[in-house]
Amino acid sequence: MIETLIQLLISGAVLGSIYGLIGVGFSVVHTATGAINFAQGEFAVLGAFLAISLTGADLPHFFAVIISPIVLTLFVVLLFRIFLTRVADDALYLVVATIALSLMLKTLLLYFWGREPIGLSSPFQGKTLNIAGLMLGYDQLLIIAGALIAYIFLLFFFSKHPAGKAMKAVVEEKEIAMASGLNPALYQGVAFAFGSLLGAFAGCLVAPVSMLSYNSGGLLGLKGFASAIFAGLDRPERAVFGGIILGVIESLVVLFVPSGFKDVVALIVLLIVLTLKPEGFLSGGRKRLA
Amino acid sequence: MLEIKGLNAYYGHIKAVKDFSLRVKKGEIIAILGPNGAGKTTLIRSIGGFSPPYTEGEIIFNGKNITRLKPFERLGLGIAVLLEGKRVFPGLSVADNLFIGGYTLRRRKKELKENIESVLELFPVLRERLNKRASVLSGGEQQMLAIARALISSPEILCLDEPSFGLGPKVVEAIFKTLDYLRKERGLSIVLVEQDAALALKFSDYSILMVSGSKKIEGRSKELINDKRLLNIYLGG
Amino acid sequence: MLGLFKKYKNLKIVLFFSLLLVFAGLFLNNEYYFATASIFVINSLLITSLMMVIGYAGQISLAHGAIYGIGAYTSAILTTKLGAPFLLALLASALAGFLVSLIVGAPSLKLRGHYLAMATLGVGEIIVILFQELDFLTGGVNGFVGIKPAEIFGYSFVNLTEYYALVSVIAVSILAFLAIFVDSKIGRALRAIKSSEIAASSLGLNPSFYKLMVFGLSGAVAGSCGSLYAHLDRFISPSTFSVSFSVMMVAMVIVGGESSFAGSLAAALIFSLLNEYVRQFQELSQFLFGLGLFLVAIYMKGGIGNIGKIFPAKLERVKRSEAS
Repeated sequence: MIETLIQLLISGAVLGSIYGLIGVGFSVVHTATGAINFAQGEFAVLGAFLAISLTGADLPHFFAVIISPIVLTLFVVLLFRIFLTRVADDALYLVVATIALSLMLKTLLLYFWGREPIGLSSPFQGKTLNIAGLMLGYDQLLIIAGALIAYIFLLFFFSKHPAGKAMKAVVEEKEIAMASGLNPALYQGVAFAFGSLLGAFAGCLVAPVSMLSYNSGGLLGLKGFASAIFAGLDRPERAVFGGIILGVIESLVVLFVPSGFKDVVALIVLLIVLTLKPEGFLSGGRKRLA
Repeated sequence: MLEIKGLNAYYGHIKAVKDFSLRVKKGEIIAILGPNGAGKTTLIRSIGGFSPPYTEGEIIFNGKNITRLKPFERLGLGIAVLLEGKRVFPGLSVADNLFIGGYTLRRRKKELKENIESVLELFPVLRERLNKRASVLSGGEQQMLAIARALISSPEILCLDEPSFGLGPKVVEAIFKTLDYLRKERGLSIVLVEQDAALALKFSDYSILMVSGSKKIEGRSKELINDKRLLNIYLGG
Repeated sequence: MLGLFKKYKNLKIVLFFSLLLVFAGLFLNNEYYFATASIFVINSLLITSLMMVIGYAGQISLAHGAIYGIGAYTSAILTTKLGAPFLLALLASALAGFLVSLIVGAPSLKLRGHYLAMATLGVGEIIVILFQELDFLTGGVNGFVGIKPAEIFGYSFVNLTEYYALVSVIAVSILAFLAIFVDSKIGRALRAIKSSEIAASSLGLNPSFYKLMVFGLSGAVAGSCGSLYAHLDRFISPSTFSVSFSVMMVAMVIVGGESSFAGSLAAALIFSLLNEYVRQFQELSQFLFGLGLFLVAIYMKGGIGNIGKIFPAKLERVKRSEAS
């Protein structure tokens, strides 16, 4: 019994790390632009599908998993540079543009990759680590590691790196930042690209563990957003923990309700946070930045 | 150095500044006076390149037409602007506030360090607070930090909107003395919007009184101090 | 009569729409086309009801497809499992849509803009999951099969031509009601609230009440649409009511112009024609409306329906710079 419980906790933490990574993308974009990227879930699926196609073309797994997010990020940078920068100042229109983007991406995913769910076959398939009787897949370990690396990187980025400080400055007081010679659109673009990079990376990490279909993005996005808002949208790095908490709750709930209702749990958490404490539970009481 | 020619500035249909012209010379302090809603803040925003307002007319700086430049392109040329009310990045530490002020110099590490050092000499109180979050500073310290931040990029002209607002008289006195020092020692030009007319006239070389968007009275500050018309506008409306 | 059209200017559009439906009825000659035409009528009404929320209450809802589904399942369950008469089921669907829409709209009292969008998206997704998982009621992912045809006082609308007529009559009546509603006193209050909530409150209007009223009304209409849809295909499944469809509808409303009757109806027409034209890849319309929404958001804040308002603004600007 205890072992099942621990196994459940672990698988919850693994899934939760994915939600967390996607959630970080939401927070970073929200921090810089005040908007929510509704296409974030689609970016995750697109990242995974690109990687699947790359490995299908006989490229090595690791290469595919790294190249796919980068390609996608470059695409987003172009998109931002050409179109989104025009509405970067107006959160509402930026949100509508990302809603539109999610519709288009979903159609493209369906057109190019079909209706059936697909997975990424990784070289670690079936390889597990046995720690005191607990089974932990290498692919699962990679997911957790990915989330932790993202956490540490972000912590460093926002507190130490000049660009991170500048991004924070733009969010806090846009006009003073402009008067200090910072171009807000640049940082908004960087945030957008970075958010999609994390989303695509999360997609690549989850694809070996669970199959994705063209419309998986909606639910993945919602859960990512739930993680982000649970942690507080103003603290991007903490979304990782928000996600892990959410994943664990989700997998424990299966003990009490039929597994089909599992997805409802994250959504209910989302609604509770939105209505009770939209500034998040892990944000330490600080007023939101944007 | 800075020249404004025939500036009109609008918020939607409302014309907040009407046909305003101004010349600022090196090392000169110009005070813009006037009651609320006279268009002073709009003028400062226009010099900084912020929108709104939507502007017409020309702003020339050192022979270059900067009318259509974005705010973040103006600092590099030597124009620093401190907007009304917003002074610091509240969530960043004092050191990081200063760092952002010198962001455009971040690749020239030595210069940046020297400049930070020199503003800390101007405002020693900031040195003791370097690692504190800016939001916990007092109002006066925040204003000093704002000025310090604006000075790091060594601008040629500094535009301030109501630097004395909400501060005690002693702090205001200290800030104005520092501004006076900067003008004398470094040849900094200053455009100053100020509610406190007596204070502004005392420290400035030249004053302009604005009423509903237009220049009403202008002249050397020394002469204006005794001008009855000024008193009338302030007291009689 | 003419005075009525002058006072409620959207009635002209509804009249034009009903003439279009009559002509379509005269020219179509095949049961299949009547089914397609009926779906067009249902979609027109559905999109107009969402337009009310976006354009008149100034709120966004990404759960409209789910409410449409609530109506469809309510009607299917009542008529087929419990043997209730069609008209009663239609009313019950409207009521169910009304109630669920109040729940969807409740967060709007506290949340704004994209937070509200996310909350409604969450509710919509939960409802669709319930359609899938409560299979003893809904038939689960395989859908609800064998829904009874609509029957009024013993007359059964099995023939799709006749059903088209029924759907058209109901839809046009509701549209006419909505057209009158938006230019009534209540409609004017809504516009006041949309332009400034604070100013409206100071006039004694309670924004929360009016916002919820629009959500409720829009939900009742969407619920009725669901009922009409359930008895048309006589088969419903959760995927029809997915969040993607809700997002798609928002795109159609905004592309059509967020408070334009004509725009919503035109968007529904374009949607139906596209789906008919490219049968093998129905999602093409999804892509095109996505693209439309994208371009509107970026280049034309306010929608195609507002194109007329863009030009005067430009003229004014030209005049102003000439004057100085």
